Amino acid sequence: MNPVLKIEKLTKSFGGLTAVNGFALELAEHEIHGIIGPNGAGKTTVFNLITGVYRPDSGHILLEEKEIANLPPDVISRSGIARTFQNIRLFSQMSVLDNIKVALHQRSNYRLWDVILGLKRFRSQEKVIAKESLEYLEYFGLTNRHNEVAGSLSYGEQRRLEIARALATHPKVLLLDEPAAGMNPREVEDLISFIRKIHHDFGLAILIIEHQMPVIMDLCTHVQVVDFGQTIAAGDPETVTNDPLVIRAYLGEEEVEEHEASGN
Amino acid sequence: MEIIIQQLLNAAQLGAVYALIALGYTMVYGILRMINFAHGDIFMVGAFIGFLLATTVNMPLVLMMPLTMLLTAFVGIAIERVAYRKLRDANRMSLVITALGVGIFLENFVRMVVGPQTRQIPAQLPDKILTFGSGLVVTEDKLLIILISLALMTILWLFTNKTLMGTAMRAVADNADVIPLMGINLNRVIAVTFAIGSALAAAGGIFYGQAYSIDPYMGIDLGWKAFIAAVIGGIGSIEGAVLGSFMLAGVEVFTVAYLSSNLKNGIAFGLLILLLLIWPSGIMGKPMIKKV
Repeated sequence: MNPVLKIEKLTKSFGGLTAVNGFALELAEHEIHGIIGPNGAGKTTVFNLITGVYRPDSGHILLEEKEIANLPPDVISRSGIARTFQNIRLFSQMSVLDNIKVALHQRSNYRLWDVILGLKRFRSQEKVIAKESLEYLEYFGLTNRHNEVAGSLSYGEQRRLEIARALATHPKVLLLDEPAAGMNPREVEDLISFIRKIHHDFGLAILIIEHQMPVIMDLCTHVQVVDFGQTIAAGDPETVTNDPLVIRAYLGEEEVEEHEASGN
Repeated sequence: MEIIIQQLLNAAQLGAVYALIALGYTMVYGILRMINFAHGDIFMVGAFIGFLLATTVNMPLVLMMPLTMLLTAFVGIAIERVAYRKLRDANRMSLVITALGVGIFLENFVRMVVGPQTRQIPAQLPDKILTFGSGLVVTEDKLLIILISLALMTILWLFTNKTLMGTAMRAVADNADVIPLMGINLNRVIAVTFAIGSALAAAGGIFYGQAYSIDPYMGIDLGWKAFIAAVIGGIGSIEGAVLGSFMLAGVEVFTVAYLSSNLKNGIAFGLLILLLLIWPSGIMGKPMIKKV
C-alpha cells in the first residue's frame, strides 16, 4: 500500500544552522507514527515544513503521491493536513463554536455577492456548517461550552478544542505537536484513549511529536528518533527506546555509562 | 426643546458620516494592526466617483450609490494589493508612511483629474421639509442619511457576527498566524475587509457631498476626525467606532451651537486626550496584552 504521507531528503537551514537535515518519513494510511528527540532537534520544524509555514530548502513532501512542498499553507490545509500546536493556539477571544466554524469555513464556496444579495447558496451553506460545527462540539463533549470564550476554557478543554478544530478541516493526516505537554499522568491516560478514539472514528493517519513516553509507547506503531535534524533511529517503540544511540541523545554521555554500569 | 432635538439630528447626520469612515479604520486595524492613513482619502475618492457619476451621466442615486460603493471597493482592494501587501510583515512604521504616501497620491491624483475647486454632489435625496409637533423642522434628506447609514452599519454588524466570512474576519483579528492552517486564504479575507471598509467610506462620501461640499483635500480633516472617533471608541471594535463617531459629532455640534465654532476642534481633540487618559484602549477597546 502506498503511504499517505511520504517525506524524502527534507532539508531546512536557518542562517548557518541546519535545523532539518535529509529527513525522511513514510506514514501509512491509518498509522500512528511518533517522532521523538531532544529539545531543539528539529521536530517542530518538520511540522512547520509539512504544513507550509516554512518552505524547505530541498526535498519532497508527498501527500497521496502529490507534491505539497512549496505550496501555500492554506492550500496544504485544504489538501488534507491539519495540526495542533505545542503551545495551544486557539482564537482565544472568540466563542468555542466560532473556533470550529473558522475551520469549517473552507467548506463554503460562496462569494461576497451571495452574502450581499442574500442568495440561497450563502444561506444553505451557512446552515449546513452551523449544524456540522454543533456536531463536532457534541462529539468532543464541548456542547455546553459552545458560547463561552475559548480562552476561558480549562487547559484540557482547550487541548480538546484545538484537536476538534484541526479535525473540522477534514484532514487525512493529523499532526499533533506535544499534545500531552503540561499534563499529569491521569490526564495523559485520558489523552491516550481520546487520541485512540479519534484515530478510529475519523480513520486518520496521525503523526505525534511527544516527550511523554507513555503516549508514544501506547499509541505508536512506529517511532522515529530525531537529533540535530537527522533520524538517528527508527522502528517499533520497544526497540527504539532501548537503542544506545537514542539513550545517548536523550541522556548525554555520562549518564549512559552509569546506565550501562547499572546493568541495563 | 425643538432646538435641542434639531441639534441632535445634526449631530446624528455628522456622526453617521464619521461612523461610515471610522468603520474602515477600525476594521483594517483589527486585521492588520495598521492605521490606514489613506482611508480618509478613499472616502474623498468615493465622494468624487459619486460626483462624476451623478454629473456626467446623470445617474440617479439608487444606481449611483451602489456603483460608487463598488468602484471604491476596488480602489481599496487595489491599494492594499499594490502598496500594503508586500509590507505586511515589515516594520509598522514603513506601512504607516506608505499609507500617508498613498493618501497624498490620491489627493493629488484627484486634483489633477477634476481640479481643486469645491463642488457639490447634486442633491438627489428628497428634501421636503417635515414639521413635527410644535415646530420641530426636519428635512427628509437628513433623516434618510441617518437611516441609510444606520442600516449599513446594521448589515455590517450582522455580516461580521453572523456569517462565516465575518467569522473568518474576526478570527484574523484574533490570531492571523493560524488562519492559513484553517485552509483560509488570508489575502482574500484582507481584500474583503478593505473592500467593505472602502465601500462604507464611499457611502459616507456621497452623503457628505449631498449635505455639505467636496474637494480633493476633504479627506484629511474628516479622515482625522473619523480616526479619532475610532480611537475614542476603541480601535479594532466595530461598535466602538460607531459609538465614538456619534459622541464626537455630538460634542462638535453642541460646541458650535452653544459655545463657539472656534472652539470646535479644540474641544473635540481635548476630549480625545481626556477620554484616552481614562480608557487608554478606548471605550470599547480591549486592553492589549501581548502574548509572550
